[in-house]
Amino acid sequence: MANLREIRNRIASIKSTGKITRAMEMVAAAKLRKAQAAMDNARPYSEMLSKMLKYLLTGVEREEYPLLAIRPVKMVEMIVVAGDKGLCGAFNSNVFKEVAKQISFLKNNGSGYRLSVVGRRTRDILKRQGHELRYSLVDVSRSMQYSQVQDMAKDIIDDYVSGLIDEVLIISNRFVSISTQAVKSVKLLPIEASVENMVTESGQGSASSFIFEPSEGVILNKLLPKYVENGIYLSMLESRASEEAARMMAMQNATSNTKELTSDLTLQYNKARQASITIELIDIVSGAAAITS
Amino acid sequence: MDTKLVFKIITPEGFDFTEEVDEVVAPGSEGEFGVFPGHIPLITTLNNGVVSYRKGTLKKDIDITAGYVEVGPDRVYILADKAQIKE
Repeated sequence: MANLREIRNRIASIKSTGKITRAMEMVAAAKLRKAQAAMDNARPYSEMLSKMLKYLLTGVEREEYPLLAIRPVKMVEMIVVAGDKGLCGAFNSNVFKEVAKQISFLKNNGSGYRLSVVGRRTRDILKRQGHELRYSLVDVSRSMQYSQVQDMAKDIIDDYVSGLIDEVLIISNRFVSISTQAVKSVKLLPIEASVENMVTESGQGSASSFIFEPSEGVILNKLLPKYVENGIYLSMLESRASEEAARMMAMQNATSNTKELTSDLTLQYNKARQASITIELIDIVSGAAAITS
Repeated sequence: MDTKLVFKIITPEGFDFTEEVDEVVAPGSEGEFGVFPGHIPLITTLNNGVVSYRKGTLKKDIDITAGYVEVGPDRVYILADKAQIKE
């Protein structure tokens, strides 16, 4: 049986690990609340934007707008959105798995790919895997500026319009619930039919009843980039909420593991202590017996 | 006939402002325009500048960057990159 001091030290170290994971869990929970609030704050804007786009898109010729036109796919831009930090379970690695899957799929189809990343950890790991990264946005979990997203979107839209890329995918975690996150690849560009069947309140005036100033085309050309920006922004917000949720769950598991370990070790410790007491007693008793006889 | 306008300003970062107002004046890209209740439906872009609204005798200005506006008979919804209420 392991000696007493060894066990005592292990208990102490596991307990302090438990304290750390517990603190991290609480920090993650607080950040999760914030991230969820940010997500909720962004929702009205994107709903409004979708609604406006819906009005604009009915009866528009797709081919006239580069952001809507569907071209043969030769080059795909993947925007990989994941965390700035680790210690959040399978959150990051699920994204990387999806990236690898998409890459092999694209290779089979004979189209090229480029990568843009969001997140420090995402960047570091993909770099280590030998990928070339074109655009990276890091440390967004601490302070995310909408203008940063706009810069990134502008860069991608420019390349898309000039024909350097034919399709844009966003690979990120979607927030399903606090205990579930799902990695999804969503096509950002070309803006697909999804826009047309987006949810809107019906009966609130159809496109034809609106006057467009200066013209449908001008507004659409300004609004479509906004939609792209918003798409990236939303996926970043959602990814951040998912990250904190994943971290919270991971830390919760870690904390309960330390509890389990401490109780096992405490049992072992008590057994060891009892054993040593028993041995001492036997020593004393047998010593006394030897003297009296 | 509606007698009030629902005036909303929404930005992606969560500035979400709603008020029942009597009149809105916005810097449209084709020139400044005013909206009273019963306006015909209109979608237009806004220049950077000041949107003001009137509620009774109270007037307030709001700074707007890169905005879009959807106007209906009973509503003025503004989408902007940034918005800030002027004191």
